[in-house]
Amino acid sequence: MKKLIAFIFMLTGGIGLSQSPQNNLSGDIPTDYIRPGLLILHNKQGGEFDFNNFQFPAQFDEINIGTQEFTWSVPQDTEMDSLAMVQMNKDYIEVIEKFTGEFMSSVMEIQGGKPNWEALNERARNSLTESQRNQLKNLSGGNIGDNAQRILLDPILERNYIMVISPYDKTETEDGLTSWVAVSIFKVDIAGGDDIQAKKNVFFSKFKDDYSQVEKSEFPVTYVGAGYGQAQSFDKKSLLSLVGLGNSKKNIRTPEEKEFDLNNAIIDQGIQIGMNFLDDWKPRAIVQDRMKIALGTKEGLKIDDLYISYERVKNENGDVELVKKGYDRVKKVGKNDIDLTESDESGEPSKLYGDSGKRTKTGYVSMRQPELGLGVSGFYRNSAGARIDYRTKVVPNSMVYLEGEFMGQNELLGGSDILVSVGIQKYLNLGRKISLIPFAQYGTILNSSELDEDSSSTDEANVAGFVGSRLSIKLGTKIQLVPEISILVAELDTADLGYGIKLKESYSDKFGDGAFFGIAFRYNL
Amino acid sequence: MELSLELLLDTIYKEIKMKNILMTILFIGVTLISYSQKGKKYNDYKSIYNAQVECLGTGTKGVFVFKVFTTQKGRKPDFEKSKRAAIFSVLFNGIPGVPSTGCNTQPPILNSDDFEKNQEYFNDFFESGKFSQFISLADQSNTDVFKMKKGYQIGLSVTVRRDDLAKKMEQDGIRKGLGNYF
Repeated sequence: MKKLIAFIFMLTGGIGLSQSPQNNLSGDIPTDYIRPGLLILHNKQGGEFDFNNFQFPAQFDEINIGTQEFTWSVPQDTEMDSLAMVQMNKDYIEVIEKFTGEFMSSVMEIQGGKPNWEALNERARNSLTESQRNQLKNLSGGNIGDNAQRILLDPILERNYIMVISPYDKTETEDGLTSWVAVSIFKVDIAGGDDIQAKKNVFFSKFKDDYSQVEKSEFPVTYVGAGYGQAQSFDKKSLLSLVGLGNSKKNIRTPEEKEFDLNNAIIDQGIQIGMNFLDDWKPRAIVQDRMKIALGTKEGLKIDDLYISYERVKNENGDVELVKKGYDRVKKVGKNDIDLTESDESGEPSKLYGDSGKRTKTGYVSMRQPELGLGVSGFYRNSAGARIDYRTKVVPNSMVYLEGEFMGQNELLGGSDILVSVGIQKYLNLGRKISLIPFAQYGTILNSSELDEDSSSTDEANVAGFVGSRLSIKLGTKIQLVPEISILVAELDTADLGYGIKLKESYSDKFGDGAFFGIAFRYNL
Repeated sequence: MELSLELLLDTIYKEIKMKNILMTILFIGVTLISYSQKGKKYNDYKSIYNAQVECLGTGTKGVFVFKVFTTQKGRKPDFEKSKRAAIFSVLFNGIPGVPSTGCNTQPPILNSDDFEKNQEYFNDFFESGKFSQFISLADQSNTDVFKMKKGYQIGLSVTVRRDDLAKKMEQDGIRKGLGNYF
């Protein structure tokens, strides 16, 4: 059973828990996505993690300082995996303040004792959206004049964050690496003040004579939020090895690859947690014709990322409210990583497809929504079972899954026989309420007593492969009712002990070999 | 005899009824034709193209970028209406100043009397599409759509060459330039 749990955990690897999301959306949120600046600080108290090697998240501008790690120890008796750990992170603020001088010096691109305006402009140009470009083109010919500064630079100076990651309890399992991580997020301002103009006035009047003092100063820090979760990297072979496949060497990852994956999973965990607190971190755009959005590779979009569309509703007082409408996913990621200042060209937009909720119409605001990308189901086919699925993020609306169908008591071995299968399914959406789901799965009958052992027992196992189709009836954005029909297409019975005695019954021995009907309830996480 | 009298009366009644219908159709037709020949008045335009204007910035030599907000029944943006509203606003309402964006208040180029005196000119100016030559850019990809209690408000970002528009009005004799006073 340990192994089964390990595999279920593996499917959820890289994803974990966070504090409850806060709905802080307001109607006056800008519809242009301004790339936030982000410094990732590593608190080393949790053991040996090498954070020199990871993929910086594409939706942010990277802020670098000399040393991006520190050690802030917690008392010995603190339970590392408890929420208390996270709450204690609030006390980081005093530690964080010590980094803010270097941080702000990097934000303001201070080199040789003065701001490097060209480097700042470069960052502004990189964050430029097409609508900003079109506006600027007519205002100042693309130069950073007063207008450009207001449109481009000011929003950038207002969006700079430090994310502290505290990974701990790194464990090497036979399937890969796992780790817990506590994450806390802080906003750093260039100065105190009611608006960006006031803040700039304070900053520039304070440092105008000697900008080299910036890195020796401290700047206002605001605690934004914290969360914790689990991250995991794993061998490619792990999932398939459960059913006796995928043992070739090319499927086994090197230790360096696993470290790299674990680091990325930890960072991704932090971003997911941050998005629960900060709308600033959620890539967004106005929905264009045919459900296109002006976001893409530059913002790190991935196939099947969840985007929620909002209609802006204005009341009699002129206040704008965002009303949730469609749940959409990324169908095609547009290559939009081009320099918009160089030409009138447009970056390739990404395309969404409707998944659930109401119809998304042109003009709505579409915003990234963090999610686990995971579904859990309880089902009944010939007997009861449970399934966990995870989006492949390679082919739109397709998932891999792991399921266990409890076949009943085994009189010879004791314990229960379980058909453990891996499968792949593809949702073919017929509107937003119903989907047809062709699937194929391949599994092996294991005994619960064998599952408690570390070694694989697939050598003498019965295997069973199914193909079929499910129908997803979406009862809401989270819950689905899923009837299914399947047929047994492949079966191998290797457990005959002779004399007609079988250690385990094959699936067809137990349930016949006609068409099988089943039903499931699926919950989206 | 009685039967033929009844038939005669019935025929006369039908003819009168037919004449009435024809007269009514003729009346409506004549009214419509005369109305279309006369064209829309200032108040007609004002009721259609009344818009809120929010200045986003100024460009070189009398170029203004602003968001023009119009209302409409359906949610699909009527961009032509928004563009006409932008020009109508610059001509007859002016552009409110927004100091933070570097926009000084721009007075209207004309007044309603100028319109009434040159009604045919403006009907042609707006209906034939001549107005559009003073719009450098209308950013349709980033249009704001707000649902209102009744209908929708559409916000379109447009770039208008105000100085060129004023010059055109002077050249066409609609607006008196400084030269006319000396």
